[in-house]
Amino acid sequence: MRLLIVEDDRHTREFVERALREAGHTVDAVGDGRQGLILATSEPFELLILDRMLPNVDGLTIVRTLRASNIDTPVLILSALGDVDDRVAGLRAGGDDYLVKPFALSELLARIDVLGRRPRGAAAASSEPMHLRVADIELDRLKRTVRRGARKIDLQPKEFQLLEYLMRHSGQVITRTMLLEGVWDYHFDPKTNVIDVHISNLRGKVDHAGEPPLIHTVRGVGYRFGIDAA
Amino acid sequence: MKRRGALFRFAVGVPLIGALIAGALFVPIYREAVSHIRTELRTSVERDSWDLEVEFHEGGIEALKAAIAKRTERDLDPRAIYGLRDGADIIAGNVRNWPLTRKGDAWRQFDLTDGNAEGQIVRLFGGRELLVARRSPLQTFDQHLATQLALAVLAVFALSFGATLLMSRRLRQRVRRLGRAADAIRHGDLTRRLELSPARDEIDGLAERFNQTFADLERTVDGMKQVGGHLAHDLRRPLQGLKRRLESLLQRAPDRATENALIECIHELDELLETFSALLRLGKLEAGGYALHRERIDLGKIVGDAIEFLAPLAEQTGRRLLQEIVSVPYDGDRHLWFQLAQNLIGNAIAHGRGDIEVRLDAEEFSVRDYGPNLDVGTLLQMGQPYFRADRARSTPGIGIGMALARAIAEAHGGEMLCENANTGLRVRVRLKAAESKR
Repeated sequence: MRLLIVEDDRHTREFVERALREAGHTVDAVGDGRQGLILATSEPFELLILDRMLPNVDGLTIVRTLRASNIDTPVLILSALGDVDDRVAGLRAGGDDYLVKPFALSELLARIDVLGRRPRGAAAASSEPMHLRVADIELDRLKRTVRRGARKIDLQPKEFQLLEYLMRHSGQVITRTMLLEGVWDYHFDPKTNVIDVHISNLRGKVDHAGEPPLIHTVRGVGYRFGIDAA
Repeated sequence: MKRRGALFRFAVGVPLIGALIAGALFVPIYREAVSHIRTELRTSVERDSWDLEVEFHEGGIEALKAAIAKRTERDLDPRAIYGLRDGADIIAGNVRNWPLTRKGDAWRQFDLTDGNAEGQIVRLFGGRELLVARRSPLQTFDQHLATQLALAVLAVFALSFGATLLMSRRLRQRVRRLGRAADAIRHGDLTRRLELSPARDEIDGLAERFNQTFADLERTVDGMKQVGGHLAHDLRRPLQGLKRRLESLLQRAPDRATENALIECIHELDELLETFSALLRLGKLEAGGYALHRERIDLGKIVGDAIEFLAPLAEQTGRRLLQEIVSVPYDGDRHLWFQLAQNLIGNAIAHGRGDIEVRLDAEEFSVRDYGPNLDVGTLLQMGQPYFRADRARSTPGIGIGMALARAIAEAHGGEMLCENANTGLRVRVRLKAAESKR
């Protein structure tokens, strides 16, 4: 993917740049808001990573300007301002995701992965499949049923949503905060181990003894759903 | 409920006072007028009487009779009354019956068969009596005056009531507008200012001074927010570096034990950051610097979500989350309310014992557990930042959760109370504070 990073803090910028290059992306990085805005409007990037507080032109203004000129490149906002109202302001300005500093590199990479694959604009609404299938597990969103092979799996509503989210992003690393935002749709400071308990309950229903496990724990990061155990 | 305060009293009080003043002014004028009329009357009667006596002296009784006849026939003054009595007989004049005198000797008031009169009776030489009087104008004058007075008082009252009502209505509208603006400012919209009218009167002067205060306040809060932001930035940066380093170490961890230790460190770091952001949020909420994202929400749904979210944690320890929840439409910030519910329920799971009862109705949201009772001092201090009850000291968690819950409740115009439920802790969040702080 071709990415642009606009971040005034040199350490963060270089660190992210290096990490993204290592992950196989093509990266441009600048430290000034105005330069960032000029680049973002003139070059075809697939994803923008913007710091919120920038010299000359701040991050939110860049997003608003881009959206006003119909450029819908996905934008991930980085910010030290981590409260709900800051986050709402960031997403309202047209940002697609909001990550609070300090962030774990794995969290950033996971979010970039998801954002890069997300269908944009009008395509997004129509491309939601009614049927999800990963390996031998099948989820019917309309009938709200789940089967693994011949076995029917009974799930609580939240477990169903959790599984749906994992299947939709199968193969990708999903962090706990992504699950919180994606499944529960609240921005808050959770008790850290709650998500693990939910996942462990779901795992008990999805992965039975003798079946190849589908829910994998990525240590220190989150989870991955799928047949391959990396 | 419609509030009838100072302005209503003003609208009624001012016309009332006006009417009283009008009435009070009338009394001396009335007295003056009455005394003036009396004097005129008396002068006219005395002159007339003197003229008749002169006639009598010059021409005797016949001349007097003629003079009286001339006066009554020509009807010069319809109010004039004459009478000449010789013993019990009335020998001249226009009185049919000799009137009864009411009071006084020289100057008398008479009761006539048709009304009353004022005048005098002169005893003539030879024992005859001459009556000269005037029908009293004061009777009709009094009636007229009473009507006029009543009309005037009524007019004064009506006019000034109308005027003050209009004035107080406009004043009330302005006060309401100012109140709305002040409410908006209180709820965190610090950029809002009180509206000034084109009149530039005293209220505007006051509003302007309030606006200056609000501007100062905004600057202070902005400064605080910036300090908060910078603090977050400055303190997070080293933590960020630390976390990054731990993460890269984790990727190259030589064995499972090191890996576990590193993950443990990252968890602790996360908790530190959590406390930190909770503190920032608390500070912001308490300073009114938090812009509540208010929308129409169903508290029942949010509390239900929080229960669903935390139920697995309770189940892990074999405890039940019992709920009695109804749908409660409410204007509030859904994220903050989820945080509040989560903090209180999470607190009961972490520090309480036994089943946890969660209740929500239109007035109150409450969470209780069956742990040990707390002493009164502890209950009072609960919800203060950094305060931790004794029973919480041994268990992990941040003491700021309760304080944050209280701040969220108060930011929404509610209040939080802690009480013993014999045994156990009950935390009650009243959706509307008992005393309106307005």
